[in-house]
Amino acid sequence: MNCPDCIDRLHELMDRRRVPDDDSFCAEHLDICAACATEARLLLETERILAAEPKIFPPADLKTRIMDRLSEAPRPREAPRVEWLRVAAALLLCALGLYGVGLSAGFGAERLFDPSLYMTVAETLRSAVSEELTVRAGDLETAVRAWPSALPSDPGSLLPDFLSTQAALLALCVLGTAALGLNTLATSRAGMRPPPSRRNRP
Amino acid sequence: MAALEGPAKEVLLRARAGDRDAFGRIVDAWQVRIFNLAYRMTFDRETACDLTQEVFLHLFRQLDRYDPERPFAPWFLRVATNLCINRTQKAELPTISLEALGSGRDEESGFDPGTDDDPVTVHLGHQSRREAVQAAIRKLPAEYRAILTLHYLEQMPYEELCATLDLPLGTVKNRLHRARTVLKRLLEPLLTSL
Repeated sequence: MNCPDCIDRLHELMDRRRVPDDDSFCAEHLDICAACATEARLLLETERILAAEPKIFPPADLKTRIMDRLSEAPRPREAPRVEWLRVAAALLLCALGLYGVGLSAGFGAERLFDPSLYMTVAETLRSAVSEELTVRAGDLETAVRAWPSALPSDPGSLLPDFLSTQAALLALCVLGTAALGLNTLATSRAGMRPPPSRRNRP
Repeated sequence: MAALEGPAKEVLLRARAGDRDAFGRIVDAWQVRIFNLAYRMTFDRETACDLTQEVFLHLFRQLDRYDPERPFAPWFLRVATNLCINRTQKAELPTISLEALGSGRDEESGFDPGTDDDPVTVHLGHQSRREAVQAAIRKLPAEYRAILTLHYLEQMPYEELCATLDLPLGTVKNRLHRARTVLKRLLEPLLTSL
């Protein structure tokens, strides 16, 4: 055994990972190596000092001091927690819903970030019962004529489906946003815990 | 695992809901351990008192992050240890930097615990032996002080040290060995005079 191995074994002994019985090689080395023997004595003495450090008792009024400071602190659940992830999810859902409505209403993806798109979508929906329907009816008829086999006897019968798609997307958007908003509000009021993956991180 | 026993789950849940009486019971159960941890990081009673109060205040604010299905003690000791290390480092107490203690560098840096202006030597001259030991420990980097305190005072084995310090086993072993070795060098004048 060389000196570094011997010192490593001494540390392992001190950490109680080895029982003294299996350390005969280290003992033999310590018998013949004065440097390691000195090192071992100093390490063991250091450990003895560390282990002998007495437990200190805090002042009797420490708890009072702590509780006094707590009285100045807000209750853990008083501060509203903004669940940014939920808000972001609501906004994303809202954006996707509007995007879907926009696409089905004939707007291009390049206009997704154009604020006027959302105004247009709203206006489209508002006026969906009037002239906009007429335009769409014409478009549908043109498209259906390209595939005669799919042509229904009455092309205008497709209009309710078209309208219901837009309405369903908008309803999904509104309901999803409302649900997430209510959930976020309820969470901040009731002090619900964050998901497990975020817990117990100091 | 005696070191990792925690308050009853029901008390924790009440404290987490803002019940100050329940929190008071946690203070009762933990104040001596946290005060001892803080004291060994600072070796000053008043500073340790302040630090202990800060730890409990921090706990009160962070309790909603605690998952009651998991053991309380490792989580709380990790919170307390991290806070103690941070505050000790911010206090800019004169210590040996971890960089200076990097692999092999403390051997090469010429660091000599027995120089004339060294607190250990000064203490050896006219102060008690215990104060000399404390002066040596105070010179250690905060991370070394923390691991020695947890290992010797809290009697934590490696596995619990890993959980409390959130470090891999190899790092814990290495840090503990180096902390002991550096402290031994700091204490050498005292130990050789025995």
